[in-house]
Amino acid sequence: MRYKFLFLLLLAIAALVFCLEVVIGPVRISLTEIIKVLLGNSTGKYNIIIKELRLPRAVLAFTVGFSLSTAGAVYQGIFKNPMADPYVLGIASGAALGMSIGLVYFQSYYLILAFVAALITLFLVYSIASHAKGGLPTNTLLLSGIAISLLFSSLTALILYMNSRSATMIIFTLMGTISNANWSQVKISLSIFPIFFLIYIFSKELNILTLGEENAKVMGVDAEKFKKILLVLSTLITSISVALCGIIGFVGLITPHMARLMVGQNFRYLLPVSAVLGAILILIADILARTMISQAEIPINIITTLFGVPFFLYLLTRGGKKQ
Amino acid sequence: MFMLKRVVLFLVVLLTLGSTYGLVQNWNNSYTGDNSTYLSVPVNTSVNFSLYLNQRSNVTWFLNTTNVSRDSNVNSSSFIYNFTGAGTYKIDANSIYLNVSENVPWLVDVYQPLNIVSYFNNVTDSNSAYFNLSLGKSVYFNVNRSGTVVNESWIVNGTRAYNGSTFIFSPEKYGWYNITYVVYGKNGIKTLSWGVEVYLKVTDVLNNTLIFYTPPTRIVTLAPSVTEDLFAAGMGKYLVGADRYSNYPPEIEKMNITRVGGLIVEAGVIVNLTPDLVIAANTTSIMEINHLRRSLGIKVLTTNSGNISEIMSNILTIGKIGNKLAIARNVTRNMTQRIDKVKKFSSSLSSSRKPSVFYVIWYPSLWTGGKGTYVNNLINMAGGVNVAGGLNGWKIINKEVLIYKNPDIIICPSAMYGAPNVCSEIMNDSVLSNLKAVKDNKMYVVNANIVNRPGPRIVDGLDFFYNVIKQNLRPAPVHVSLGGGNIQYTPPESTIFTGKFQDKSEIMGVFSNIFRYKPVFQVENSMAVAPLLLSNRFPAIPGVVKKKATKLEIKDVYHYAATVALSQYFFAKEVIVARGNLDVDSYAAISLAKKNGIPILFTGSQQLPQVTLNVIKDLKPKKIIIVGGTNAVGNKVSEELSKYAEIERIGGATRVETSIDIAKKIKPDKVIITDYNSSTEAAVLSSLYNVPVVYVSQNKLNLVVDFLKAYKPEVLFVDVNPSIKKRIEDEI
Repeated sequence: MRYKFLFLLLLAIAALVFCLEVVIGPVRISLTEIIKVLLGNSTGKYNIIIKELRLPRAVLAFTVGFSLSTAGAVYQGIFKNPMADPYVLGIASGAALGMSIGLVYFQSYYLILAFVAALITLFLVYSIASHAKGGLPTNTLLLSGIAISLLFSSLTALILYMNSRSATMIIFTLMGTISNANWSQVKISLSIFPIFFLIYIFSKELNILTLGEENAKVMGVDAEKFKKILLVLSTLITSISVALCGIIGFVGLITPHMARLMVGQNFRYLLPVSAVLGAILILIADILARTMISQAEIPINIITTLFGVPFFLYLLTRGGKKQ
Repeated sequence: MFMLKRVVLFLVVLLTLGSTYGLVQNWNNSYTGDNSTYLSVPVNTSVNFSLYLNQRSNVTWFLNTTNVSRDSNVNSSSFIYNFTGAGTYKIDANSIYLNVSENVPWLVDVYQPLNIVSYFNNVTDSNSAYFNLSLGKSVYFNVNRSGTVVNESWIVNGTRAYNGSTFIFSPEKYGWYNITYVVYGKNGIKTLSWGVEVYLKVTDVLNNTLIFYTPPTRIVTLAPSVTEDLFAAGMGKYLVGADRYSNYPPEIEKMNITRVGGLIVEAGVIVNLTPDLVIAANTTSIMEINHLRRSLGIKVLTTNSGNISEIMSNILTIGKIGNKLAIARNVTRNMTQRIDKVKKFSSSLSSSRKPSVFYVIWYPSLWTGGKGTYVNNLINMAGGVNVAGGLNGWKIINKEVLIYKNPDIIICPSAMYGAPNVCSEIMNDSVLSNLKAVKDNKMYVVNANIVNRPGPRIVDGLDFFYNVIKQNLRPAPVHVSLGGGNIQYTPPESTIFTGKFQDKSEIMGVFSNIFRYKPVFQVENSMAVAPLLLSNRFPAIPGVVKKKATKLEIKDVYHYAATVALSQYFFAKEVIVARGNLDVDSYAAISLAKKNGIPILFTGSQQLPQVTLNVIKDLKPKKIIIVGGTNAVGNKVSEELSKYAEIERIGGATRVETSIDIAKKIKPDKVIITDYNSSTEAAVLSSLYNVPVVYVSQNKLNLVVDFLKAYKPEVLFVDVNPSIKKRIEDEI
């Protein structure tokens, strides 16, 4: 009951920030004007600004934050690693490589290729880390993730360098930006909600997986199967958001921790809370990205990284103390 | 008598003899020792002049026509004179025998002997014959010589430069100069010589000093802009190496030029080329420059090109270094002239006429140049307003700012590195295609290299912006004189009309839009003319009737209506005929005419003008719509018209009923209510939005209210008495 109330409160905050994203902008538009536009009583430039720019952008920011946080929570749970997130594990870089290949060489299929490349990344990172001595320790996973991430980033850079014709189209997207949101992107991004719902169905199994594979076996859960299903699903939503908005780092890292502080370890509550928190964070970051430099845009990844890295370092040092 | 004859004969013989053999036998002077009569002698010379005669005679000596001595009855005579002063002396020896006289003239030129006493130049203290001089400085030479000078001159490298004893040497070019002073006196030539090594000292933007004694002949450039500068200054043939991006002028591809790297300079390749000058731009890394200079000992000139005057000074500097200053000056003079032309144009523009310009180099993230960029300077200089002027440097502009500012013109660079053209991407973008510039097709592509390269072609870039801006100026203030009185209107900064009916200023904005392409519009005898213009597809002005051979003289409104109709229509399935001497019905008919795409013609109340009839015959309508009741257009007229086509009359007892009947035919969702029977604003709006005008009056208020209740249109009140407006609003 308490958690339900908390979740509703967060939803309300998300709605408020969503409204702020629509209301705040470099072009000042009065509230009455915005309401007129939303009621469909307006044409002209305000109509375009609200309906074609701010609204799709807000929706996209919401869904991207939602999906990255969900993915982060799942990775952290399955790998039993507080530092895991789509960015740190290199999965975002993998998806970006897939997207670039799709856009450069095929002009389409970029969603599928992003997904495939992200899955390959996950497989590589996971197998490298588990071949290390002593199973799957925190640091090995992070290091292999960073190594693969760097490798795939440079492969992406190589592809863009070799195909400068398409590079101009992709390079800013890769930097992480929601500024080019449009309704067709939004339509694609909405597909993350059913995927989230699927993950949510498995939240009980996720809880058991976090207790370790031995315990899972005891409780009659096929750990390997569920692990695979959940990893594929969370990689899928990661790749969708990367394919649409590029690499937006650290959101998936921060929000599960914030959520855990609020609702504890139970994924039944943790998943929705961290997802909505992620949406709130991205919306706030995007408001900053749009307004920090007057009339100009800052890639949103710069902002999330600015806030995320101190948090990441905090987790790293705290982890060190515990050991 | 006989005696006398003999004496006379004797005398004649004597005279003949005297003149045949002459009186003077010979003459002589002691200076030359011969009989020359022209003598050039130094001062203080004594000369003995002698004269030898055939006859004893009297001899008189003259010095400058003054009698100085005389010998009587002598065979020879001499005169000694000491010439003490310089000048020309005339000596004459005149001998007389009987009546015969003979004269020997000498001309004596007495001169001071020439000597060089001392000489001086203001560069060296000593009188050394060799010295250095920095280009741009001058030397003052002075020679102090005594005696008589016939001719003196200064010879620089074999060419006579100046005549006189002083000479100011200010060389235009640097290098080795032989300077010789030559003086001719009566007693010979004297010369003096100097060797002057003129060197060029250039201090570049990094405060490095470069000294040149001879122009470089192996040059390497490190940026496309300086390569272009080099060629502009006439030094292109000395280029031996250039960066990868230098591709202009085209002959560079035919030359055997070594590429010395792109963004990263390959120092080894440069050293291999043994250049005597490397020219770098401010984009070159300072570390690379210092490496070339200090470690490898290569002369590097670093240039800055932050603005056009810096570009010009770069060209002049390179011209100076190549000793081709004249060529470089020509280039910069030409640039200045072109810039001045553009500046003259843009400074004459009022700010309301300046179009807004968006220069974008990237899509979908819209990179654009803000304050402090080249593009911003070019746009401002050419008379435009940069919509990204609120940004600093190159930034991604927020799309909503772009939508809000809605630029008049969009300019993109030609595709760089094979990328798709930004302009075509914008045209295909679902949101950005709403921009006015896209809809009006005001999108231009400029050669990227002439805008992005701070070289001599930057004026081509400026010209491009100038031409685009000149073609797309915002409309000039409109002065309109129509039936409703004088209206002066200046278009607003932003000319977007949302189509909402809000306030008077917006209405005026709409008004200006109609006349957008006809800045000055004036019609005499304008009563009832406005509806014609407004009902047609574009405002016709007297003199544009070209389509039909029928030539009409515009005498009155009937002729005017005929002219406008013929200029717009070859055939019309329907025509509207309304009263020509009162605006009221024709204003109401505008929306009908616009909606059906048919012309309005005028008639008198009782008399159908011949010109109107002619037009109707010409246009061959199937139907003639008479607007106005029988009071306005009489039955006589309608009978006459019924001979030519089917007649439909839309008209009630008064203008109120008539206007409502027209409005009902249109079945509008918007309607303009006015109680002023000559409201130009109502007419303009009616024309623009195809919205009918409905007249209202105090006693026919209920008719209007019934109409409004039946059709429930959106209502705009234009020129309505506030009390009537309130009553209608209360009723609905």
